[in-house]
Amino acid sequence: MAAQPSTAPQLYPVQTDCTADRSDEKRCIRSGQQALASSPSTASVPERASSSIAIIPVMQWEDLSDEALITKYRSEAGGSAAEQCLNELFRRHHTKVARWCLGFTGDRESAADLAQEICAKAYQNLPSFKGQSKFSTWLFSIARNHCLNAVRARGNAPAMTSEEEVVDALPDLGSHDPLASLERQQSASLARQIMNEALGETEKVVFTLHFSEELPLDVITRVLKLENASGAKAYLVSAKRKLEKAVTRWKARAHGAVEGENNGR
Amino acid sequence: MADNFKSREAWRAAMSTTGDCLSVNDLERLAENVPLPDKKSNAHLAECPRCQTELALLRNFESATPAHDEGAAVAWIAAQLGRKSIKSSPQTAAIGRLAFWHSFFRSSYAIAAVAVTLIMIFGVSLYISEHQPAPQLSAELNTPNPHEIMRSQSVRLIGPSGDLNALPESFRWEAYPGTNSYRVELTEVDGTMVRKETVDQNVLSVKPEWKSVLHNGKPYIWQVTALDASGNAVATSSHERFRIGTLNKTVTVYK
Repeated sequence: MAAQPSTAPQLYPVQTDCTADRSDEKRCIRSGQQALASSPSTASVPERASSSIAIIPVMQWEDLSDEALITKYRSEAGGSAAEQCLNELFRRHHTKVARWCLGFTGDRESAADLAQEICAKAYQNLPSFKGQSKFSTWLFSIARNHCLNAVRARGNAPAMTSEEEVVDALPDLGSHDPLASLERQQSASLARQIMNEALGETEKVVFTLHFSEELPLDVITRVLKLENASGAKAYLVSAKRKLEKAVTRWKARAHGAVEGENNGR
Repeated sequence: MADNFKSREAWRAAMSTTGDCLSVNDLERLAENVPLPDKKSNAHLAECPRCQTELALLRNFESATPAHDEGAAVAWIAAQLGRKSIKSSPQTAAIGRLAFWHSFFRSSYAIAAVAVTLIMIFGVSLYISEHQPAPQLSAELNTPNPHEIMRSQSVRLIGPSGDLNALPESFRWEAYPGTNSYRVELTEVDGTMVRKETVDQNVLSVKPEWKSVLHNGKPYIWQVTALDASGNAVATSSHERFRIGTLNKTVTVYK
């Protein structure tokens, strides 16, 4: 059986509309200037902060915040200063993107390709960056979506057989009990409640990434930097065991409640 | 089975995004350890595995420190990115080129200068061609050394190529001497990587995982790179284009 693509909507849809309207641009420039005024270098030199226009030419690229670099890049469009802003902006985040991609691929050559694609995509969509979040958060949303799509597209998603071994073995929420008629939303709510009661934070994250995002366990181990001997697998096995117990307890409670209700009648 | 399916759906739904899920800005605040102002968002975070997962991913992305065993690889990738730079992406290069020519041809002096240069080049080349003797092949070239082999620096592709009526069974190319393995890359026409695989022989069988990415009517480009024992590229092929399901199409008439 082929792996099913995840139907869950992407939490961070990346805006690809590259025609930023004028008001957004102005707002972004303002936020960039605010960021510039509050950057550590200006904050530590109050006399400079009083005249931001005068200090921009003498500031080094390294002193500017990401948002200020983008503002300058836009205002210097086409010039060599814009190019320097762009290079500095991406240089700051190379390590983050590299580490992130290495987590998804496991080998440096493929990770380098993936990272280059992410940077190119970010550059391409830079006009749609509105400055409502930090640049690095925006870059994260691109990297996240791109890497998840790449893993799915390259057929590295976990085989359905291994998923079925675990998921089918999970306690059945809806059979042989009064809650068999629970609607999907109620069942989901119940499953979420059980997960929260039974699982630790990392177990929940591993469980979600494996079964909802269909990430292979070795990828999860690397992306979350799990340093225990068997990585994500240990968390998944532990989560499964805890959920089985929790569901059994919950069923017993639900069954007892219905019997009590029937006896009362 | 139906119950199992129902149950699996419930688990999946429990982990999927809901309308109450936190925005990227909220997650950014949390990643910076800034508490959220409203109770509703905090309560949602406490019970939503999806938001907890997204927060964990964002925190991991933001923590730039590589694990102890990946430091060298991360440094290598970052260096590659720095070397190629964002300018090396096709879009940037194209934009840069267009911007240059656009500004260049704004000036009528520039157009005149180009015209004068072209006329001078034409005149000089005409003068040289009239005053120089016809080139003669050297004696060495006329009598080549039979032991000296001039080798092509590219891998020659055999197929698939052009429009096909069915999925190809394999990708084939001529063996390249001194090669340890071959890397086969399949891309869409815009360069988007579809699949990549390294094989030892000069043939790649189209296995189910390749079949699943090949769609009827869609054009693809493939290329082969010959690699030595260290994985370095020795030679590459040209780009070959093919498309499936466009030849000898059977027309079915439904009555």
